[in-house]
Amino acid sequence: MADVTMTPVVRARGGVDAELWLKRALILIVSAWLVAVVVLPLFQLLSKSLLDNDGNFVGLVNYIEYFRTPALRDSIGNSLFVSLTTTVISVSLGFLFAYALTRTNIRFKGAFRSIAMMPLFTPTLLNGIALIYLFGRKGLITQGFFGAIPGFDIGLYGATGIIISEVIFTFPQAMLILSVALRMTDARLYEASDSLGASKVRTFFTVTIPGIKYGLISAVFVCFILAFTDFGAPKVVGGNFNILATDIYKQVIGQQNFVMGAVVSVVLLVPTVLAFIVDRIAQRRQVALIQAKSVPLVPKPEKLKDGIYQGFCTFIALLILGFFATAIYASLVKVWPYTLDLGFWHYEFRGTGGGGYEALFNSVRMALYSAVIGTAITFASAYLIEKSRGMNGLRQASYFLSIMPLALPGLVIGLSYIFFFNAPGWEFFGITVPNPLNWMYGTMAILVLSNIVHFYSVSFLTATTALKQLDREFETVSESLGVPFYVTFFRVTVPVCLPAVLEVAMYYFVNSMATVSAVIFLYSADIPLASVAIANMDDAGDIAPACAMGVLVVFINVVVRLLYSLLTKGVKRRTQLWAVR
Amino acid sequence: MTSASQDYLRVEGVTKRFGTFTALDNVSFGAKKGEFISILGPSGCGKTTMLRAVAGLERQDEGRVLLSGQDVSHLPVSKRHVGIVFQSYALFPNLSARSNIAYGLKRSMKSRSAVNERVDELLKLVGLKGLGSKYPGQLSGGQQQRVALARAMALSPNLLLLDEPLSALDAQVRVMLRTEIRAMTQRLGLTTIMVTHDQEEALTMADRILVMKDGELVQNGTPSEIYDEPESPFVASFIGSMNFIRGSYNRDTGTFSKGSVRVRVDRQARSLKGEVLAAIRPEDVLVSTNGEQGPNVFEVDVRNVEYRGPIYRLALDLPLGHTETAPLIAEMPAEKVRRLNMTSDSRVKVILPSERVRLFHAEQV
Repeated sequence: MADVTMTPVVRARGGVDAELWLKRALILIVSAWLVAVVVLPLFQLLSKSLLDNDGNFVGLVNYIEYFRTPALRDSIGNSLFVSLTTTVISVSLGFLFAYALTRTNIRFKGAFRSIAMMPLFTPTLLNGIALIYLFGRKGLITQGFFGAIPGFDIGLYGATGIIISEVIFTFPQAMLILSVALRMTDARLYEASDSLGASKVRTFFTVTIPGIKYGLISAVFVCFILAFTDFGAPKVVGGNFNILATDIYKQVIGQQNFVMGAVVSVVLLVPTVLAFIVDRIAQRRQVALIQAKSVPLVPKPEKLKDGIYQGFCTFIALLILGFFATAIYASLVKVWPYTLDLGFWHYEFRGTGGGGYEALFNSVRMALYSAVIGTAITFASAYLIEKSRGMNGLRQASYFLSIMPLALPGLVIGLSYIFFFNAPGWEFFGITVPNPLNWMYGTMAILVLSNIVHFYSVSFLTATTALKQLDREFETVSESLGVPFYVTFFRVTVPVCLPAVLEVAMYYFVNSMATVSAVIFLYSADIPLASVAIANMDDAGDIAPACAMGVLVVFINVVVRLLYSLLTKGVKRRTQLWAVR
Repeated sequence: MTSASQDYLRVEGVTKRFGTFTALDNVSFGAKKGEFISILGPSGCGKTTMLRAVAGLERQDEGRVLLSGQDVSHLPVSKRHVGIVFQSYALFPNLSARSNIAYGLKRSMKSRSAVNERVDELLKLVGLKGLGSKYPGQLSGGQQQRVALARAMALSPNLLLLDEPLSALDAQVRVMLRTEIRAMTQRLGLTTIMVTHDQEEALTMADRILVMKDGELVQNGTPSEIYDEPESPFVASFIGSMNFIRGSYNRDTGTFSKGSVRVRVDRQARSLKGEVLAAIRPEDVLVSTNGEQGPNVFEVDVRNVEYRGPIYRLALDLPLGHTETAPLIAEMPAEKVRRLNMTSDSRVKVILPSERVRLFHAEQV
């Protein structure tokens, strides 16, 4: 190496201890934040279920009453029935679809994938509404395309309608999880199986299925939890078929019986939390199947197999497209099914409740806030939890609390937030502590907060996965160079993780736009929201405007998703130059 | 050994536990100003933990770390004036080579031009002039290594710590960088500690080698001391290779015996008696060419001849009487093997020079 004299350099001094304390303080803040927005509201909900309507402690009396009321009790079986049926159908279809996308040589894979993901951008209320236009009493299929062909009534209202809606809702989730699992495989296992003379069926059961075992478990639990806790679709097509999610809504909004609402919420929470725990235990056992040396599997062309899967995927894609086409068509038809003129009458939202474009604008605003604030909080917390040393107990507890919202249904979050943020104060040992967060009740802030918590876990896991891929020594290097961790966070960590940051922001936005379950308890009359407007217009019988509003939400979400794709491409081209060799 | 007062770095009785696992067990050593020390050992022996404790990245449970006679045990890494190069380099992928090197400078230097000047100096130092604008992903492994080195050198550290710095590189680049790094630290008079599991790297670069095993420092010496005077069978077999024969030692006659074999041993082995291990390096096993006789000459069977380019590696069987044999590995220049026409299943006479045979306690294994 060249002969150079070394200039003495004066080192920056001081600030080390301050930095350490700052980091500790930040971790403490993260833990405190999680306790405040997850643990305390849940605790409030639980304790509410043990009180009577006047606030006296009555123990399990409410639960006894619940199980003595057949109308309420039967919902448990109903909920389990529809969600288990949904899970079986969704995971089967999702598996076949994912298998076609990853293990066959069919054409148009990209298009199939995009189409299959459409329901992710859709409020589940719209699923129900579109089904009414297809299979309802005056539906397209029921009436045989306005009498053109013989009609067919599937008896939509009730379990049938709920199951179809939930399958549409959960299918993309199952498909995505299983695609990831199917892609993570080692071709050498298949070559070994082939060379040992195993049949295709045997290879499927001894290599394919064990390889995606954990993905399969995850897909099953995710579908189950989503279907079990969804509220939008059952509200629209449930008819007299009671399930737990609609019961909570009826108890709270219909009968103003908050205590019974809390009881049903706890009942709803039990299977969800159990599913969550089982899934966590299963995932912990997973060992890395894919190693650096793994060889990606390249599917061999097989005429018959490829043909069958091509047909299957085309069929599913056409169903989904037909479904959305129906929704768009229905929102444009003047008076279904009598005056089939097309126009934008229903997009004027005149003479209907719900708030019209103000509601839509509020939803966009709320989704934007949730995306920006949520992404900042999620990413910073994930960084502190993943990349700090020391305070292990606190960091592990924070990690657990961060993934816990995965098990919390939106309705439960909404209801527990009513209890927690509406409480004027609490009494501890005779001392009254006023609620410092009471001001949030009925404002935009609580709506944004409920969305952030509702969609926290998936965002947190995305951020953590991205952070785990960074060299563990980045923090050490900057420490040894006397550069504070927050400088490295902004100069290195965030830029390198930008694709994940954008993905999290997109996820928050899209879901905040579409969700109805948490916010339906929390919105105030001053801040109407699009998804709530859909529910209210549907309640009032204004199905066409409700459908129009749903289509607008999907439209905005698809535009945001496209923007995200463009942005990611741009980001990759400009700032991630370094990623290209 | 150096005297404690001269040492720039002193590690005194450092112990580090992770739960019930003892990663460092009462380790002590020193390093003079400008000395190049290599910590060598199998994976999991605690060598990286040792480096991290010196750096201030791990806080030891017991013992002290002193720099220039000052106890720095409680100082964080940023106050110990150390430069660190990690095995993975940990270069920031989104910053150019220049920005990587300047990363720690921006806080200590006022003007942009001073930083630029310093970076140019460092780029020149590591032989990367003109490549400053490249991103790490656009550089070869060896070049990335140089950027990491320049970054570690940026703040003019008093102590350079290298954690397996060359292990990810191709053999040729490795050999070249070995020489360059050594030349640089020598020129700058920079005290350096390098962790490695590569014995050749340690032997060629270091002034002194610390051999570690299971969290303990088992030997501390110059490369020739470590190679020629290993203090235990572990060190003997970990650095280079070694033939071992278990047998008994008669102190009065100075002979080692096993079966019918008697080997004269020149070295004084005062404390040894009874069961011992006799050891000899493969390159010390000589082939007798002109019919020497003597106590250390044996007729052996050539079991296998392995070609290794400049040398041959011979697997020999040393008869111990009856049917018992002891395996013996010998290494010989290719020229000699060819001249003597040694092939598998032939018989040759070998000499085990009495001054090259070492003895170890049998229970030391």
